[in-house]
Amino acid sequence: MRDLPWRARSLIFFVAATAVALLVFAMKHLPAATLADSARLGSGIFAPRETLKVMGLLVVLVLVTKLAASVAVFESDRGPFGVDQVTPVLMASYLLVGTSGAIIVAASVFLVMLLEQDLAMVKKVFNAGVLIISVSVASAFYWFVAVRTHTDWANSSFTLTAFGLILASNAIFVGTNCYFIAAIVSSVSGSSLLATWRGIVRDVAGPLVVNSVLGLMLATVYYHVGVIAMILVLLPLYVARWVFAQIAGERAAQEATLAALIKAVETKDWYTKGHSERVAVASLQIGGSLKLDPDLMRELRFAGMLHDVGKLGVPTGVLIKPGRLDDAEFDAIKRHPVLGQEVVRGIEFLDEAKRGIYYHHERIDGRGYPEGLKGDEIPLFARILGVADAFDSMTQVRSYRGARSVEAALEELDAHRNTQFDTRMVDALMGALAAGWEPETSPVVVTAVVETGVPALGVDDDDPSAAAALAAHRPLRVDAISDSASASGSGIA
Amino acid sequence: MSNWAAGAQSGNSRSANRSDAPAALLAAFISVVAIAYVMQHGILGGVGIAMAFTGFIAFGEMFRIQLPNERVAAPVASAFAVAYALVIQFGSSSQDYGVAQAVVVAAAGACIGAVSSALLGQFRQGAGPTLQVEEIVRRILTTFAVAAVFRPVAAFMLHRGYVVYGQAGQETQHGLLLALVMLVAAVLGTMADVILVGLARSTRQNAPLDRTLKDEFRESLPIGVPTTSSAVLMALAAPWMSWWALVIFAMPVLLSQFAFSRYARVVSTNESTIRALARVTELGGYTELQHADRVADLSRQVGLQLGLSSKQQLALERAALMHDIGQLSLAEAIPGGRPAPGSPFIPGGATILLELEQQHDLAKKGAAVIRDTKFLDDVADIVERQVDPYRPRGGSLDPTLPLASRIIKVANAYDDLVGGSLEADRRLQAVARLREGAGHEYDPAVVDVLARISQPRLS
Repeated sequence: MRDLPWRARSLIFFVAATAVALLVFAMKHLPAATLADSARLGSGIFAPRETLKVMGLLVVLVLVTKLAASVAVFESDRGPFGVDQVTPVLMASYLLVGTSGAIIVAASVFLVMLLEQDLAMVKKVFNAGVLIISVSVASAFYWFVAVRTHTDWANSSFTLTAFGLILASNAIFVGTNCYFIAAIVSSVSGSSLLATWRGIVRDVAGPLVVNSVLGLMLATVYYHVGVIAMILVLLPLYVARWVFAQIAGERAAQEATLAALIKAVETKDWYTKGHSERVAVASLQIGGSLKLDPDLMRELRFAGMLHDVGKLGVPTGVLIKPGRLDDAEFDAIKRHPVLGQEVVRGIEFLDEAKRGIYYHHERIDGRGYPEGLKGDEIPLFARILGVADAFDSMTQVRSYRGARSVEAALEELDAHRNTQFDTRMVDALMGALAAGWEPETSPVVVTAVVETGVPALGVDDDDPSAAAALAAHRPLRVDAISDSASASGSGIA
Repeated sequence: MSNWAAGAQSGNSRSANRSDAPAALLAAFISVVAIAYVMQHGILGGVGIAMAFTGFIAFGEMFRIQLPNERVAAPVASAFAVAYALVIQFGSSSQDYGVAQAVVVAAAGACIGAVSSALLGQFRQGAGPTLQVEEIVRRILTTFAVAAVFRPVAAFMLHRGYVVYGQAGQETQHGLLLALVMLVAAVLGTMADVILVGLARSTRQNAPLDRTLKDEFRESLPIGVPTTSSAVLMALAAPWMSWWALVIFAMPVLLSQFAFSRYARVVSTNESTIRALARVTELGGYTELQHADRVADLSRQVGLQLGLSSKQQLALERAALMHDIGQLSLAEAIPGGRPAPGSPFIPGGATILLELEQQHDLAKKGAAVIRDTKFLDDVADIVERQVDPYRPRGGSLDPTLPLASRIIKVANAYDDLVGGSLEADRRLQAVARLREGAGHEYDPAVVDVLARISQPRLS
């Protein structure tokens, strides 16, 4: 508390004091306030004696939902999709028992917060205070308009006005809540209040309609049927959450299966151990710099993991052959993207990844394989994988050379811009490195490993130098032997 | 279309039609009677409302979800069908129709939805998918069950004044009692549906009835809860909120429609991933083409008949697909050969050509790969023990040996012996060989089922 700036401290005091004042007011005026509301509206609101009963039950309900799961977060492809159970309950409470009642229900959330270990006391007080203020503002708005327009959510003529009013009051609730959160965040971090507020609203506004509908459902069912019937509303939510947990489990299982199998495949070739995983990581870094959306990022990860799976179909003898490869052997290696695509063909919903795997050895200048595509003809994932693949290959030990440093690898990538690599992808990789990504690399060895007596295990065609040689191997492009091939001391130059 | 459905079609499509016939006849009979009744007495409670429900049911029917193990669900359609069977007041209009009208609306909605999705499918894919009459039958019978339980009771309660619907400004008397009756009727109807589906599945897959029903109940619960809640809530709120009740209280079921279709997609993607990756052993030249697929198909069919639960069934299929993964650790593929002089040549990759010790070793290595995933321990256990004999000579039964492992052992041996061959002779020889080993090497129950499945069908 003491280390907070004075603006933050005074804000916290303001919120706490206002909340306490509101609470005292609510306690004093509870029966009167709700009675007045209901008298003016003519129908729909509970009698004072029942009000207390209702509030007791709502307190219980808040406790139950809050304890069962603080916030129910549904994982979706686009990140968490939150339906928290407190907002609907608070909405239902101001619909059912008016402003004063809702304030007391909101205050009971503070009691639940006390049980939570992970939050500092100041934050608990602040959050509960904000909740009380927000619910008072929203409820006051709702009843102010409702009384003047004679709108009654519980009446037999439920109208668009009633629904709109409920949505609007919920929006006010969310907006007020976000305002105070943004105020405290900006007073601590010094960022602009408006920008912070906009950011927070963007994050929480999504489930606004869902929360409003839920609150209305809870209130309706409670009012017309009884508290037991609220189970009918809450149970499906728990089921949905369970299903989303199952989905997350299945997803994790899929990724884990993939990882384990790739690992098993890689045991065949000591030098490429971990390669797939690292290429996946590097591809995600590039994808992150390009700000790809989450769906594509997931696929990109799969593509990275699977890009070399086709190597399993290349005879081991060719993969680990030391020295020069003949035409037939080159052709065998060049088949691995095709074989890889063959493996993943049956996997549903991986179209981008499939294309990426098939074309990941294409070059911008059209000298790659298997199709010899040029420039923008090469699919996005293939261009990303190409750079990630080469980068990892260069920074790892190969049989015919030591690992290069990251700087050396970047120089190499730089040198092959617009011939082998898409310049945007190279920039994206550099951007990720500049932003602090630390790739996993082998220790840099100055002299080539070949000379130190480790058995030579053949040439890695992911290596740009070797890849250049392979590209040069295309019959019509004999002229194109890259100078880097000889410069890097490759065994096949 | 998922793999399960594809597998089912290759199996016993003819007996499927036969087993569903009584239910279909019953549904047809009920519908005809209901239509005749409604034609005579007219539509009560407003044609607009009836038509709207028909529309919602048809709409829901167009978004069926294909769940694991050949389950099909259309939560939105069933919620609206059940809700219409439960509504007794809609705004100010009293819904005093009988069971017949509820059935007619459900039948009409289901048929319209099925036909339009079939037409849409034809339009989109060029080939018309089947109408899936079974789903229409389900919708009709469930609605009938709910309405037959609820409507007479509700009519009685309203008539005797046990329940009084509050008009403007009044509270409903005994709303809770009414809600309870609705809930009981809806639950009974849903249970009838589950039993119906369980019966059909048990006959179709030759699976034991009690296990199938138990499994069906457990698997239907997560989708049944939101559907039933939505239906009851819509019916409960309809008097006050009329059309708004349908909009607002459909949310639980829409949420579950969204969640389950996503779940079905993820499971199916997962399955196709495992299926595809199981092929790496083929690509690496370790195993014969399609071997894993065939072993998985055989195992699946045997598992169904032996009454495995959906969860066990999923683990069994995955284990069967990946049962040869351990071979990736070999430097060279297992060469082909003949297990005994004079027997047919078996192509490379067949584990039955190996020494037992080596087989155990490969099973262990495969299990280690799968265990590495940390999510598929049950699958790893099955793969690890796929070589263990049913009852070693002179030994006793091992109660910890999973049934799934015993199934894979038999299915794998059978496929190693037969391969993709369709020759009746070769199949009979293989079964004969398995029978020789039944009781000690192979589980006799599994061999029996496999023998039945592999019988050349008379066409």
